Amino acid sequence: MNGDQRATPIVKVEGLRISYLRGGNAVTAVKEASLAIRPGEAVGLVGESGSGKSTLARSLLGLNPQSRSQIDAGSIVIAGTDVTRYGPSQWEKIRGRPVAMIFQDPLTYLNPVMRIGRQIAESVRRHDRGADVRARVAELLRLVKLPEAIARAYPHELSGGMRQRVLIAIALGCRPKLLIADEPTTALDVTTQAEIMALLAELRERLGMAMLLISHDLGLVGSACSRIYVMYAGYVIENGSNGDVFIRPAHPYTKGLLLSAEVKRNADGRFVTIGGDVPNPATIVEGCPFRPRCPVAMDECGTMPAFTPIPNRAAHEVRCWYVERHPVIQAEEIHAAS
Amino acid sequence: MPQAEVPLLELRGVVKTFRNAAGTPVHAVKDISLTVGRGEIIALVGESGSGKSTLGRIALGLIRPDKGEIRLNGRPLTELSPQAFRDARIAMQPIFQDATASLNPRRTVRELMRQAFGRSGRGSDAGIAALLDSVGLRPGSEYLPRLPHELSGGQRQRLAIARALAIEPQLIIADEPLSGADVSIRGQVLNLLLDIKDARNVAYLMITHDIAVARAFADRVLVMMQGEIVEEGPSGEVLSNPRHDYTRRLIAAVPVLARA
Repeated sequence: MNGDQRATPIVKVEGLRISYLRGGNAVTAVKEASLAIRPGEAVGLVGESGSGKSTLARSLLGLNPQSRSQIDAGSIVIAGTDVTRYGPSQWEKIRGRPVAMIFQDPLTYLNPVMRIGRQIAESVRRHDRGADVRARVAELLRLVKLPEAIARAYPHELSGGMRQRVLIAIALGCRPKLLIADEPTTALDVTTQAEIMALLAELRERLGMAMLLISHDLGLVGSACSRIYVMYAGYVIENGSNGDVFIRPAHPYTKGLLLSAEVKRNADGRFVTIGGDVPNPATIVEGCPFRPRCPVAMDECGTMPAFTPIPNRAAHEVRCWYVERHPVIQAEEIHAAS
Repeated sequence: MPQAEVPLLELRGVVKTFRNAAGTPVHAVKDISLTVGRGEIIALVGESGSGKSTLGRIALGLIRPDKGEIRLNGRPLTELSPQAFRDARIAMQPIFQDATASLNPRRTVRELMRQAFGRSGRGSDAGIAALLDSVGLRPGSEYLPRLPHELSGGQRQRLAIARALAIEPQLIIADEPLSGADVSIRGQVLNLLLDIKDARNVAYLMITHDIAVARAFADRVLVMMQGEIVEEGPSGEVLSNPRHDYTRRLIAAVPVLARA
């Protein structure tokens, strides 16, 4: 799962800020996000509703409509090329290679009146004009473990799991170096989810492909990814290795989120939870957006802190004043407080 | 039999078969019997197509079974007149999985709550505000003029629960009540449901695909597969020490963090 940390990243995002224009108002969905994905690695991006995780992911393919959204600050570099200011026609040329994407609802992205084989063939032709399309479609169907006869089927004739396999085949048709999977199994049953995740792991291994898995499901991300980014209200607030972020989380939000995800009761029979509510992106909070729900909020939290590296841990960073002021005993103290 | 021993809800030998577009019979529910006691929490666990939602709708009286009997407080629902049926059904209220979809977007909280109180005569502003307070929408009076889109996801979930409580049900049938809730507020919703149970001795029949929630929340778990209950028992026992192969596969398929 580990990519080469010295290799040139396929994707490098720095200080990205993205706003949507609604009526006369701008709503900032991504406030400040940085991330890097290197060849071959599996990276997880976790966050709740309104965290900005899907907007961030879609920006890596130029999928946020330019008529209704804009990049206010920061940069996106793909395979060494700065694409931050790319227009629709420039995005069209690079979409699918080196970065391709699959989504939660495959049916929305499949043409209902076109046979599956043709839809996969179109994807193959996008970047490989001289390819033997028939052979390549057959190969892609084999890769996603679908029978060749599926090529003649229409999307509505397939189950949810099969449609997701088709979407994966279409993405692989472009020979991507990075596959972004945005909640790819949220609409599926757990047993089907396990099959799709096993398929993605096998394909990554076989094709040496990196993956960015976006999900609200911590168990899913934790079982599939080696590095983790945690987003809250438009900010990346913590990132590090799977072991550091999920086993020794530093940010009070990550800590609380992990406890909530376990669905466990405390000694009084109460479910462990974070108080308050997930903030609406339209609400403007000064300073750290987690402050209203944070068990260890301090006066400093009125301004957003920079990233602090956690001592003695490789590449584990957090944006939290409390952790910065308590660099040694942070996790235990927050645990006791929450 | 003394009143206390009559189950709140009893399904006996319930069968429901649908026909799909091609006319092929689909056996959604095959001869199922179950009981829900007063104040008991039951989780009905299964994947899509298992028949769990159909069973919930049968228990609600929204779908008539082909065969079998439903008793509420010992009275058979299938033999009741339409009026008596409606009156009896009042003891059950659904909370559907998508709180947003079940709330008319053009109605204010006040109107949505009045509708839920129906003809009970308790739908005054003060009565509504008190109930909103009790589900954590505080102060309730401030929520009265708001529209559903002005509420957060968690607040909408609380509003749906308040609507269910308006008729003072003995049983709440909740179909995937947490599937739309964010992870960090899921515990709040579960705690609210526990508070309501303690205050009102409400029973829950929770239909869910989420094994972790079933294990931690329910007293008893029923595992459903292809229209049949394949395993049943106390939640800790069934989900920690499953006997049926399907239950084992269901549990094994759930991705968990190493620390959990």
